[in-house]
Amino acid sequence: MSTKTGSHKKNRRRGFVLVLTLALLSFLLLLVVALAASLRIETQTAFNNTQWNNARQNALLGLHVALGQLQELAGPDQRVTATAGIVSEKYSLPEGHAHWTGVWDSSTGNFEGWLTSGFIESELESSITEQAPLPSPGNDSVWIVNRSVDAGDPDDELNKIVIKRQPIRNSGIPGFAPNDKITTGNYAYWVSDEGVKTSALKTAVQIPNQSTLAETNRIKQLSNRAVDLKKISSQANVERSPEIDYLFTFQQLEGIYGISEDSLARSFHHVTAASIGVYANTLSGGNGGLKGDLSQPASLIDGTLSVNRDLNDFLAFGDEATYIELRGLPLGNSDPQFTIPLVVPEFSLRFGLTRSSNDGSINIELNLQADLWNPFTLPLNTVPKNSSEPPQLFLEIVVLPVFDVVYYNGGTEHATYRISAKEPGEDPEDLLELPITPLREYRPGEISNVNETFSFFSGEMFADATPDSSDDDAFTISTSETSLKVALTDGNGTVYQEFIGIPFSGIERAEPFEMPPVADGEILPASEMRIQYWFRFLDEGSALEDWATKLDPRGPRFNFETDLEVGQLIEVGNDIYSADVRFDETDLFSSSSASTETDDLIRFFDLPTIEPLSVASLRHLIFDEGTPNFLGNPEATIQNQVFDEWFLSSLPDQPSEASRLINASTTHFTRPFLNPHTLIVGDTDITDLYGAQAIAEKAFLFGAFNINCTSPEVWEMVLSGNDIDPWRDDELENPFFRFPFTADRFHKNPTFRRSWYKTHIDPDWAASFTIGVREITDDQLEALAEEIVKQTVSWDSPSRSVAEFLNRGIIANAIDQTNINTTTSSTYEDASATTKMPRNSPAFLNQAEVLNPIAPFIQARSDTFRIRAYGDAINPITGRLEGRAWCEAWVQRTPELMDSSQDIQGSATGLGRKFKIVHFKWLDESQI
Amino acid sequence: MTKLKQKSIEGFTIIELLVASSVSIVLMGLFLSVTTNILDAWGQSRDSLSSNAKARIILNTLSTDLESAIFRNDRGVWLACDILETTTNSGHWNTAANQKPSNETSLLVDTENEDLDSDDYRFGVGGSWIRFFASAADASVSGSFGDVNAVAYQMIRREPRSRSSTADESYNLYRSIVRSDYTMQEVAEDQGFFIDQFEGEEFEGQAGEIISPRNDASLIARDVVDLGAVFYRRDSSNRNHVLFPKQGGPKQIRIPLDGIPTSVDIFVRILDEEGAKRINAYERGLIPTTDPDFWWNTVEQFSTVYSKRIYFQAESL
Repeated sequence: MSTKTGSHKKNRRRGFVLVLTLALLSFLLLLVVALAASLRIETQTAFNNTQWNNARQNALLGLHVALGQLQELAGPDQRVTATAGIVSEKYSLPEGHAHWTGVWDSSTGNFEGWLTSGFIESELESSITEQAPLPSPGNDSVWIVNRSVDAGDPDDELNKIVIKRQPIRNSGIPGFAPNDKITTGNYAYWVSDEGVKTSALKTAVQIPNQSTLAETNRIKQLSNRAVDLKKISSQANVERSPEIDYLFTFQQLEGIYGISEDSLARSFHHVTAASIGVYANTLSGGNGGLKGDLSQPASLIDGTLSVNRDLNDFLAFGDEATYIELRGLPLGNSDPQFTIPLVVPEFSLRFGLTRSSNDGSINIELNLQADLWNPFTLPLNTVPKNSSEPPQLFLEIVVLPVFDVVYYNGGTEHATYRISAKEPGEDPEDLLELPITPLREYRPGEISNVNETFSFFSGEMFADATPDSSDDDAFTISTSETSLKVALTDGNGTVYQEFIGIPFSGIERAEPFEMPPVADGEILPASEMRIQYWFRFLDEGSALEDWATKLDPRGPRFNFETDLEVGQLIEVGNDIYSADVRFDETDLFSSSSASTETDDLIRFFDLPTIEPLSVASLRHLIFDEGTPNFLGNPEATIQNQVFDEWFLSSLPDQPSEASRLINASTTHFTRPFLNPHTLIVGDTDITDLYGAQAIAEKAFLFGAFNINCTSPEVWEMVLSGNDIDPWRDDELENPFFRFPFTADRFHKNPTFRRSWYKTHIDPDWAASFTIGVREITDDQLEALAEEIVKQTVSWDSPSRSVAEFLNRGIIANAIDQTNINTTTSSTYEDASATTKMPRNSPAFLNQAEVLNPIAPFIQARSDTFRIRAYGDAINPITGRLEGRAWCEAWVQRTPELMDSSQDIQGSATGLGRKFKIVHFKWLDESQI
Repeated sequence: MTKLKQKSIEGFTIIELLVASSVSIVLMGLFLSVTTNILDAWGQSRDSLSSNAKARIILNTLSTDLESAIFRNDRGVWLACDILETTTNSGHWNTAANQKPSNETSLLVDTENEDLDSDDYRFGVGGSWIRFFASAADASVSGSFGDVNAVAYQMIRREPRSRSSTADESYNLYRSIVRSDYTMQEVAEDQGFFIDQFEGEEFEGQAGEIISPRNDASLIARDVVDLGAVFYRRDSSNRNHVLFPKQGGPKQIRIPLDGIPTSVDIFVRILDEEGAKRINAYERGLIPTTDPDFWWNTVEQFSTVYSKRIYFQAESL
């Protein structure tokens, strides 16, 4: 018992130690477990962090692969970009493919590649069909755009982008054979072409402080406005806020304009913040290189062109074109007084013979009638510039006919005389210079008739005959075939307009006619002058359309011997008795006696009153053998290359010309000149911008737009950006100006104030010749945008230059497919809804006019791209996806060359001009 | 009975007690030692893990922000970094007698001295105040419209929460994000992107946060006693040159005026918990010492410097 008790006690003491020991051990174990757990958490966190970083690195890998591919394929000057929409008909691609970006060689037209992961090795344009239908998100594919946009709407679904992942395989992974290639992650990228979208941040031309009201209205429409963001979202607050000047990313539109996140996401493929271009020439077959700036200061050979020296090169297309004076006058002045010539749309020479009652000498009397037309929208002054001489304008006539005059006395031929309208002894083929008076300012559109009779002593005397009025005394007169040359000159050797080789058949007035004696100084009435030579522009109905399309009435030279068009469009004759040839008032080119400037005067051409912003503004320049509204229309063909070779920066003539600087700020994106698209970046001193192509090395094109765009929504927004409010006492929606330099002179709905026109001009198209601005409806604009895209896509390849785009007539054909040029009763009096306006009449909307507001910022490729890249990390053991990352980079082409040994102004070959990442951000999945 | 009594009072002899006590003491000592070591290791691990976690958060956030920094080569100021040699910048610094010294001991950056380990760099009493424009990845989360935000990092000694007592004062790192719309308002007012001119109301997401961050929402980590940045520019031969800071050079950099960097080394010195306690006690005057270097000696003993090279992904146009 005691033993038991003793034993029991002994056991209790041992248990105490055991419990104590166990408690301590438990405590220690707890600590160790807690520490191990903590370490495990830390290890897992570190592992997750590593995988997160790996995913990011893989996304950056995708980004830089994309950047490399972009540089290699699109870097050279002679590469153009477009989205796959351009070949959507060719390959019957699903609509969702329209947003792939492709690169083509502008010299050969060859396809270079698609800028999407998975296409690196493929140089086949058709390779895009390998991913048709579109991949769906899953194990092999990943969302890259618009994942978060609500599903269900088919249109929204087409705007989403899913692309295939590309595996990243590594060897030497622990646990695998050394040479095993194990997938440790994936990457994917997709390059968005930002140039085919409309730039939301394009801004209107800023009006210089000292501008007059007229200048303000002219300047307003030189380039189009900011895009109407209401087209993105009806909720958009389009009131201009000061922040707008500092926006530069797409996402910022949400905050500043109050556009909802969903609306912005839906606009991903249509709108960009600001696409920025490089002034490089992509002209197919050309030499590439940087464009020339026509705004570089004047240094002209003959001093007649005051805009800039490079304009000479520009105008070198036409040898005779250099007489047009291009000068934007200092702002604040009244209309410039141009001294360019009038046009002679109708002309006649009548000859009559008189016998002096005093001494029996034979005189030739010449009656000159001519219409002088100011076809411009500005006053013309006939005063020769740079001359202190009294103002004069001359018609010069050479190769005058020689007259064979036979005198019949008593019924028998008595004498024959060969005489001409020259002073005795002068060669008949010498110049006859006839002054035209009065000289004065011609109002815009004014047509004035001059009627002068000149008397010449022939040198012949009726010394041996005394003709009387008896029946058997008579004269007959005949001429051989002749070829007149008529020229309008300033009397100082400058030829303004000339008609050469005007063919006239011989005239024979076989019937005897009287030659009544006239007293000295007495003038024979024109109606009695029996020999007449005349010509006139055909101007009845469709003939007017023909010459407005095929022939420029300003000349400068009409050669009847070589130019078939002249013969078709200018009528010549020598039949005095034809009733149609007189200067009647039923024809358009007839003199008018309007005493005040009215809207019903006929104006066809514009002159630069303010600084032009693009070569499209110069479409009223005369080109040798060109047609009216030449530049920018398909007819210009090779001359349209000026759009690829030149631009106008609005650089002031002198760096010190501070008044020409609209915005002196050099912070952020500075656009200091009148041209709001001339973007100066960096700490660039304005003096560094002078030189042949200096500005193209340092400046960018703000708001650049790639004309290979295949989105009707984008085209509609780009073209609708031309709204002007206020305009005079109204506002203009979707306006296009025929006469941009004198835009202020035109109302949108002109009416005939004078009853004369109503009576005498075919009412269906009468107003077509008085209007200067066309306003089209929103429906018409929408239809035009759709047709432009149809025309673009129909070529199955991108336009490789702006010239090619214009020469394909994409806009011209699109216009023809709409009812835009059909007159409507609301705009034109007595118009039938189906009546087409005369082609190229001022009211006829043509390609060049549609081009005018967008020409300052169009190009045939894009220089701004947005790369969306994706990366993930895969656990090589389990194959589980451990981390994902998305990033977005805005990539900008710069003038800088990858190969610095090349000439920056020359053609960029090899890797071409450098692309830079100018904006980068990480995205989380909800931002895709 | 006597025998029984004798047995009943039979206890431990003094020897037994002494032996038992000795053994117990030894055992307890052993256990205590082991426990203490484990607790120390636990504490150190916890400190280390805590510091690592803080550093990871700080450096990842800084990476994300700086990688998306925006530069334009104009006359604006797109990124500014100041080495703060005073504590007055934010207006929120709670001074203490024994706080981080405002003298030259807190400034030790010599990028040209190869003998000086970059981990030993010191970036001024207030550390480097870094602010720039960036597309903050969490912009949409913070209710900021758009993707251009003014962002600032600044170290301030203050109570870490609005309702904290002064006894909790610590060195805190703040990351301020100005909402995109407020960013653009300020830019428009300044007529350009001048991050060094950001000022205004100290309300949530407004421009004033760049200089005076709010306490709660903008706090990114406690016990960050130094924040530094060394900016590099890579030349055409791919060699890095230090843009800022340079020995004897200015204590601030304005980008792009002073050059456009291609990368930046970020240094963050984080106190562990023990160090934080000691510094707190020292600054509250609870540790009597006349050692003028006590603050830095303690910090160097109980802190870790984390650094990371971050490449700016974007270039200026």
